[in-house]
Amino acid sequence: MRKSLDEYKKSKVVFSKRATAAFIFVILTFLIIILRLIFLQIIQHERYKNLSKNNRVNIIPLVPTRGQIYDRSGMLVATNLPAYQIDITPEKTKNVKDTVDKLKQLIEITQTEEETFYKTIKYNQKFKPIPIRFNLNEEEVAKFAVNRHLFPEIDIKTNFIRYYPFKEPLAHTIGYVGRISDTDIESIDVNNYRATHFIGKIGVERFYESTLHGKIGFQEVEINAKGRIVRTLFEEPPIPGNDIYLSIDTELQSYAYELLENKRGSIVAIEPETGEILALVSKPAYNPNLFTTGISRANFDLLNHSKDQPLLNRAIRGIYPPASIIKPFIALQALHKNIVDSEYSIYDKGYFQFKNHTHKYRDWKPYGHGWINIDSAIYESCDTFFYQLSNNLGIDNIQEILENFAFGSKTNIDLYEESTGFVPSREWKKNVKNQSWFPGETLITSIGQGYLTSTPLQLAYATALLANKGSNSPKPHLIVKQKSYEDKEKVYQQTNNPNTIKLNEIKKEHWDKIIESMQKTVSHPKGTAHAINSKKKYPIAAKTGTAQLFTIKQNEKYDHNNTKEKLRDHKLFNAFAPTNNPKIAIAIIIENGARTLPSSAIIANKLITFYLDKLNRNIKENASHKIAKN
Amino acid sequence: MHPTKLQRINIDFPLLILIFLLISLSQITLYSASAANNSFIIKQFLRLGLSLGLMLVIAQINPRILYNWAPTFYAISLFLLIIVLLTGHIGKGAQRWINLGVIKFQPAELMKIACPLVIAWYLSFKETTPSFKEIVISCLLIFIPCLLIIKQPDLGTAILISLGGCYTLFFAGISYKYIIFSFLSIIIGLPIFWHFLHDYQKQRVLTFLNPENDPLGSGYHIIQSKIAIGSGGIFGKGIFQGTQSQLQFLPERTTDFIFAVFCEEFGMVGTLVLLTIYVLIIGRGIFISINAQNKFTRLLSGSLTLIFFTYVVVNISMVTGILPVVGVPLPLISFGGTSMLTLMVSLGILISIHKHKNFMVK
Repeated sequence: MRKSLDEYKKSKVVFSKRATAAFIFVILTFLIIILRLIFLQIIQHERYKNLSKNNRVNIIPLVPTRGQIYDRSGMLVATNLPAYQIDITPEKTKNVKDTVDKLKQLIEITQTEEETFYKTIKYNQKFKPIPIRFNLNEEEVAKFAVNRHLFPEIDIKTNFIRYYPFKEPLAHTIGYVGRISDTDIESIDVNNYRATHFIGKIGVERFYESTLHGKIGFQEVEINAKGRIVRTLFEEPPIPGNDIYLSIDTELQSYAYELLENKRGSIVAIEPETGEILALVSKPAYNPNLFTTGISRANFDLLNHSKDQPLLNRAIRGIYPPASIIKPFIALQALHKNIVDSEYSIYDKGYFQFKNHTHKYRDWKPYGHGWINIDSAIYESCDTFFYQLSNNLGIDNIQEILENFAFGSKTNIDLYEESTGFVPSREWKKNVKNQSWFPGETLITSIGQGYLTSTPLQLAYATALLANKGSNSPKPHLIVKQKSYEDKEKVYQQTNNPNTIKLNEIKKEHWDKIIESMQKTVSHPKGTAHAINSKKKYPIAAKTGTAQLFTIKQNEKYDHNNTKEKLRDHKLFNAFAPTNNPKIAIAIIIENGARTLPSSAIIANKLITFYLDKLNRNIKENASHKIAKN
Repeated sequence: MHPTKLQRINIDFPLLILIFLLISLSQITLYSASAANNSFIIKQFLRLGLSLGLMLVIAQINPRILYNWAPTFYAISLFLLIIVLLTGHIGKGAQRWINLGVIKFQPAELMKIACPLVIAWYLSFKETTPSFKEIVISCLLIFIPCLLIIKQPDLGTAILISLGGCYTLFFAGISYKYIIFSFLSIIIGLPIFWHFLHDYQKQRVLTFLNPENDPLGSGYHIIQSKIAIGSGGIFGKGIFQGTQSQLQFLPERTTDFIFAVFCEEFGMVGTLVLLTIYVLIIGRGIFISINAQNKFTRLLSGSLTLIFFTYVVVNISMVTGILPVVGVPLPLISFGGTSMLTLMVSLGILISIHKHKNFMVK
C-alpha cells in the first residue's frame, strides 16, 4: 500500500515536470510564429502592401509554341498558323450564359464549342479568360470589332492553330491535335498545360506529345482595379516544343494514297537497313484539319459511322489474314529445320487429303499444279505443296518462325494505337479454347488463313527482315530526329527487335534460295505476278496473296461477281527491291480487291520504281554537288 | 456543501468563455471571407450549435466510462478505418469517408481521439514510467491506424495522429534518451520516407521550399497568403476591407487559409489577440491535466491539449509559409464540420476530467 502510494506520487511528479516542459515548448513555438508575423506584417509590410493594394499581381500563363513536324526531305507536314480566337473571362461577366447567348447572335458558335467551353470554365480559375471560338474568319473578326463596346467581358486574341497541309494522305500517321478533354487531363501535368488548349489526340501528335508541347512560361503583371494590365513585372518566356523529323517520304506516301484510288486498303513501305518507315498509308482517310479546333458532332458522326471506317488506321490497327504472303517464311523454316531439301517435290492434283479422311483441302487452282517443288510452290503459290510441307513441319515450327519474324507481337513502332495481330499455337488453343490442336488447322495456317492474322505494318516489317536475311532487325520507327528551338539535335538511336534475334541462325543459302523463288514470282512466266515483269525497272522479290473472308463449301467455286462486296477476297502483295541491295520493302493490302490479280502488284511496282528513281537521282545530285565543291 | 444547480451540470467557465471568444471571431471572419453570405454563416452557426451541444454532453460523462470503453472505442475506429479502405466513398480523390446516409464522416477523425485514449488507458495500468515493452506496444497502437490512414492517402492526418500518440508517451514519462533517439532516426529516415511519398505530396514540399517556382500551381496559395498577411500590417485593413480576400485572390479563404484573411483584416494586433486566446486555452488544458486525479485522466487531457495546440501551430505555420501546405483547419475558426466536432469532443473530455476530479480518487 505504502509503495503504491509512493509510486502514485512519483508518477504525478513526473507528469507535472513533463507538462511544464510541454507548456514551455508551446510558448516557444508561439514565439516563433510571432517572429514570423513580425517579419511578414512589419518588416516586409511595405512590400506586401504594394503587391496587394496598389499593384495587384496577376500571373498570366504563356503558351509554348508547339513543335512542327517535317518529313524525311524536310518538307513541313504539320505546322501552326496564326488565327483569331474569342475569349470570355467568367469573372467579368454578370452571367456567363447571357454573354454566350448574346455573342451567339453575332457569331456562329456550334453546340460542341459551347459544351466544351462550359466544361472548361468549371476547372479553371474565374479570372482566367477561356476561349469559346477558335479560327474566326475575317468577316467574323470585323463583325465583332464593330460591336466590341457591347462586350467588355470578351477579348479577341490571336493564337496559333495546328495545320496539316497534306490533309488526308498523312492523316493517320501524323494524327491531329484537339481540345484537351477530361481523360487527357489525367495523363498530363496540368500546370504545364495551363495556357494550352490543344493536345495530340492520335498518331505522331499523340505519341510525341511531350516532345512537341514544350514548357509553359508565365508573366507576372500588375493590374489595376479594373483588371487591365498596367505593366509586366517579370516574364519567364515559354520554351517551344521540339520539331520532329519523320522518316516518311511525303511524295511516296501521297503517291501511294493516290494509287489506291477509291479502294479501302493500306500500304506500308520500310527501309530494311534502318527500319525507317517510308510510307504508312491507310485509305480511306479524313481531313485532320477538321479536328484541330474541335470537330462538330455532325462531321464526327459522318466519319465515325461510315461503313468504310475512315477513322481506322488500317496500317497498324487493321488485322488481316496474311494469306499466301506467309508461304516463303514457312518454306524458309522447312529448309532451316531440314524437314525437306530444295529438291523435294510432290505431285499436286489440286487438293490434299489426310489418310482415311474424305475432306479435301483444295488448291486455288482447280486441277492442281502437277509436279512441284519448293521453288515453284513459292512463285506459283501452290497451296497443296504447303499443305503437305506444313503437315511434315508441324504447328510448333510454324509458330516459331512466324514469331521470329515478329508476327503476333507489337513491332513497337512509335505510335500508340498498334494492334498485335495473332499467331496461333497449341498452348493457346488448349488454354483459351480448351481443345487440342487439329492437324487440319496446321494446313490452314500454312497458307495464312484460319486464326493467323497480322497488320500491314507487320507484313512490311517481316518483308524487311527477309530482305536483311537475318543480319539486322532494326525496329520500325517514324522518328528520325528531333530538334530543339536552340537547334540542338537528338538523333533516333536504332534498336533491334529482340524477338527476331534467332533469324541469324538461318544459313545464307536458305535465305538466297527463298529470295530467288520470290524473284521468280515476277520473272518466271508462271509466276503469280509475272504481269509486271515487263514493266519493272529494278529486280524485285515478291509474293502475292489472296485472303478468303468466308469459307467456300466443298466442291463449290468462289464466284467474284456473285459475292457481296464486303465478303470479297482481300488482295495482298509484298515485295522488296532491288533484290541484291534492298532499299525498300513494301506490303500492300487491298480490301475486297478487284478480280484482276496484279492490281496490287502494279501499285507496288510503281511505288518501288518511283522511290528508287528518286533515290538514284538524289545520289547523283549529291555526287555532282561534291564534284562542284571540289 | 450542496452543489448548486449549475455545479451539477459540468461546465468549466474559463474554457467556455475562451471558446465563445474564438467562435465570435470565427463568425466575423467567415462573414467577411464569404463576402457576407448569410446562408453560409447560418450553416456554420448550426454546426457550431451542434458541436457545442455535443461538447456539453461529453462533459457530463464520467472519465471512468471513457476508461472502461477505451479499448472497444479504439477497436471500432480501427475497424471503420479498414472498412473505409475497402469500400470508402471517393472524396477529393482519396478514400476517407464513410456514408451513413444522413451524414458522412471520416473514421480518421475518430482515431484522433481513440489513439491517445487507448494509449492513456494502456499506460495507466502501472504508475511507473513506461518500460521498453510498453513503449513498443504503444508504438504499434499508433502505427497500425496510421498505416491505414496513409493508405487512404491522408499523410497530414496520419502525422497528427501519430503525434497524438507520441504526446501520450511523452507525458507518461518516456525517457529523454528515447525521444532523442527517435528524433535522430526520423532525420536519418527522411530520405527513405521521401521515396514513398505520392507525387502530389512531393510537389507540396518542393513548392514549399520554393513557392516562386510554381506560381500557377500550389505555390499560388502560399504567395497569395503571404501577400494577404503582410499587407495587413499592424492594424489591418479593417473588416471587409481585405483586398486579397474580397477580390478572391486568396484561395480556400473560408477553410484552411482563413488565418490569412484574419491577418489581413485585423492586422498584427488582432492576430496577437487570437494567439493569446489559443495560448490561454492550451494553458487551461495543461492546468486541468496537472490537477487531474489519476494517471489515465492526466495522460488523456495532456495529450488532447497538445493535439489542439498542434492543429493551431500546423495551420498557422502553413498559412504563413513556415511549413508546407497540409490540409489542417484552424481550430474553431475554419469553416467545416468534421474536424470541429472532433475538437469539441476533446474539449468536452477536458471539462469532464476537470469536473470529475474529486470523484475519481482510486
